[in-house]
Amino acid sequence: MKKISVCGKGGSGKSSVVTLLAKEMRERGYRVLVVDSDESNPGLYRMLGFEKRPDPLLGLVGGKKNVFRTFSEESEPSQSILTQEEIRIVDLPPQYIVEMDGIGMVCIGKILQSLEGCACPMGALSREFLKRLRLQEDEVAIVDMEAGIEHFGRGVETSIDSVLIVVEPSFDSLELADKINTLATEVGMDNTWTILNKVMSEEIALKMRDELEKKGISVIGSVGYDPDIFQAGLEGRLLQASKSEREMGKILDQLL
Amino acid sequence: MCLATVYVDNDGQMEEVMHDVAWIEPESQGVLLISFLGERQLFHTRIKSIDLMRSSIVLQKEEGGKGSPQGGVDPGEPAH
Repeated sequence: MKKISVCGKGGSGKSSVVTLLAKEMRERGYRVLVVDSDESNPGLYRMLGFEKRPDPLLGLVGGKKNVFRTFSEESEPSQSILTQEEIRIVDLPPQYIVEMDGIGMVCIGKILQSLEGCACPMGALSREFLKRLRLQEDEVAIVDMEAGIEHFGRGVETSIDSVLIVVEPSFDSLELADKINTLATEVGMDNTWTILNKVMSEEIALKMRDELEKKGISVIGSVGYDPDIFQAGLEGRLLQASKSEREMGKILDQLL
Repeated sequence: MCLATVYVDNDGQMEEVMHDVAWIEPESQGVLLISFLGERQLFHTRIKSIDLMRSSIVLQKEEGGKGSPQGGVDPGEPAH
C-alpha cells in the first residue's frame, strides 16, 4: 500500500480521512506525502496544519496557459522533474512541497477562473506524477482525489496501488461506492477498501454495512460523526480530532 | 477539449502513437504533435479524422512508410 487513492462522493469526507490517515501513518513511523489531486476544494493544506499551499505541480509544465505558448514558440521541452523516469520526494523543488513533522504535501493544480477549459491536464498530470513517484520502504503517498469518478476515466488509478472508498450516510454515496468498486476492479486494482464516515449511530452503521454487503462490498472500518471535524471544517483550520484519530488507527491496524 | 490520443491508421489497424497530446500543428512536412509533458513527434502524413467526443485523432498512414514518426514511440504505453 505505497500509493493510496482516497475516493468517494463529494462531501463524503475524503480530505478529513486523508488528514487522519496521514497523521496515523506518521505515528507509525512512515514519511507521508499527501497529494492534493482535487482541482476544486482549496483547503486541504489548512486541515494538515500548513500555513500555505505549495505551488501547483502544473507549474512544472509552464502552467495551463503558458504550456501552449511554450509549445508555439518551439522552445525546448522544460527540464522539469517530470521529464525524469523516476521522481523521489527529495527531488521535488522546494516551492512545490510543504513539509512539517514528517508529512509533506504537493498540489497538482486548481481551477482558477471561469472558461479556462476542462481539468483534463490536471488528471493527466496526477497520473504521470504518481506513475513516476518512487517511494522508499518507509514512505507512503496518500492521494486526496477529486470527487466522483472522472479520475477513473483519466486513468489516474493505473498509477497507484490501493483505493480507499469513503462512504457517508447517503443513498448516493452508497451507490457511488458500488460504482467506484467496479471501476477499480476494471483497472485491475487488487486492494480496494471501503470505510464508513460521518456515521451518527451504530444503527446507521449497520444499515450502511448491510447495503454495501448487498453490493458485494465489505467494510473494513468506520469513523463516526465527530463535532471536532465539523468545527475545524467550518473554521478552516488544523484538523485535531482525537476520537476520529483513534478510529482511523483501528482501521490502519487491519491494513498494516 | 481534452488531451487527445493519436493513432495512425495502418490499413484499418489503429496504432496508438502518442497520448496526452496537447498541441497539434500542421507543417509543410507533415503534422507536429506535442504531448502535455513536452514530447514532440513529427509525422509525414495528414490528419484523417478528429473525434472530439472520444478525444482521439487518426493520422493517415505515411506514404511509403509504416506510419512511424520521426523519433521513436513507446508502444507499451496505455491509451488514455
